[in-house]
Amino acid sequence: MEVKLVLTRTELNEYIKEYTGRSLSACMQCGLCTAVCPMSRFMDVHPAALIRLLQVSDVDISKLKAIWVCTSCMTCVDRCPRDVAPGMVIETLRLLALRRGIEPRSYSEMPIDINTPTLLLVSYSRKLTG
Amino acid sequence: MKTLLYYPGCSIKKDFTDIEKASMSLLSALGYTVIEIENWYCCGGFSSITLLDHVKQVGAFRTLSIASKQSIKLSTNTILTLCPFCYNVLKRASTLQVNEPGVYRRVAEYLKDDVEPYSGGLSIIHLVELLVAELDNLKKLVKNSLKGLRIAAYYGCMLLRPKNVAIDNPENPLSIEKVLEVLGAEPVDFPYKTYCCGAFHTLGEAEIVSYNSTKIIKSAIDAGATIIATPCPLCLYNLQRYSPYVEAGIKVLHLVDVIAHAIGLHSINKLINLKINSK
Repeated sequence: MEVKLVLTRTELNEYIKEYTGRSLSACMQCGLCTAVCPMSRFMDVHPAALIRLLQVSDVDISKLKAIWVCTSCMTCVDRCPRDVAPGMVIETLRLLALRRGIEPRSYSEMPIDINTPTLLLVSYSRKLTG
Repeated sequence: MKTLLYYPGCSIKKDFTDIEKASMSLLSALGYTVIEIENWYCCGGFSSITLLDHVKQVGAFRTLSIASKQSIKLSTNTILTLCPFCYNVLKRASTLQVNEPGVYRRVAEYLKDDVEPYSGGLSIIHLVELLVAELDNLKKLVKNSLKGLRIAAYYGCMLLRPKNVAIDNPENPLSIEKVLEVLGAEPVDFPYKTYCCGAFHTLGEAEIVSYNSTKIIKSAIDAGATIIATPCPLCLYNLQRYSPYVEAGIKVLHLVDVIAHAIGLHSINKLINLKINSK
């Protein structure tokens, strides 16, 4: 069976509603999420732009780098004045990608040594391998 | 004697055993009896932050069910955590029944042959919260005052966000500063004390961690700190490992190490290469 990676705007909005209980259409593009995001400078599409992209267009989730950069620090979720919670939206896209078999990196590439804390391995696995 | 149930978590048990030991001595000196939960499961580090990711609740849910039974025997309702990640995950799992009843029902259904569903009643606390409630007693334990040391308290994310599980004001927490003051130190305010250090990116995109950790440490130096104290094992690891400023003199320490020095459990003199005056 072919895995569908390009999701239509309608599908994405429905998924996000189901996964987060929030609505993308509430976003007014104030940009606060991008301003407070400690990771935005490392993203290909910063949080506010990502919300806009999802509002207006179909998206190939395999091509988004930003969804693997977010650390779920929850700063944008707490501060979003319209309760869109971009961190939860990004987590939704991450889960949609992982559940379609896309993994950004393999374990064999990880620089693990005897001093690597267990917490680091556990949290990494949770976020980047589902 | 006050009794606490204790959830250690992976890193405290394996990588930071000295922190566990010092914390237990500290709690004993404060008059607490601490009993480890008899059959705890890994919290998983990150809780589920969407509504359709139930598997991430399973470990914490199971732990809470088991702890719930044990708590009745021990007549306590408090679970103590030392790790902010464990605190965050367990706290969120403990509020699932109220905040996300749909998710709660599905997780309970999944685990029904395994454990009785957790039905509330436990209070999940982090060590920092306990210390803030015990400031007067902590003050009495101080043997080596940290007078003259300018220490920046770095909180990280997990104790403060999302705001419904925060141990303090998520925008301007002051809990650790209160503890440091009692120890005689001078807490230093700096703007990046709740900024993400880069967390798990150490294993993939180390430059992210390097950039953010350096920013945090630089900001603490600019504010005049000579030590950064953090309660989080992952922040500690990242800050110590990825900033060139650490080589240049500022020291990043676990908060418990700083307290242990002040109350005479073990010395941080070697760790910080500074002469600290005794009281």
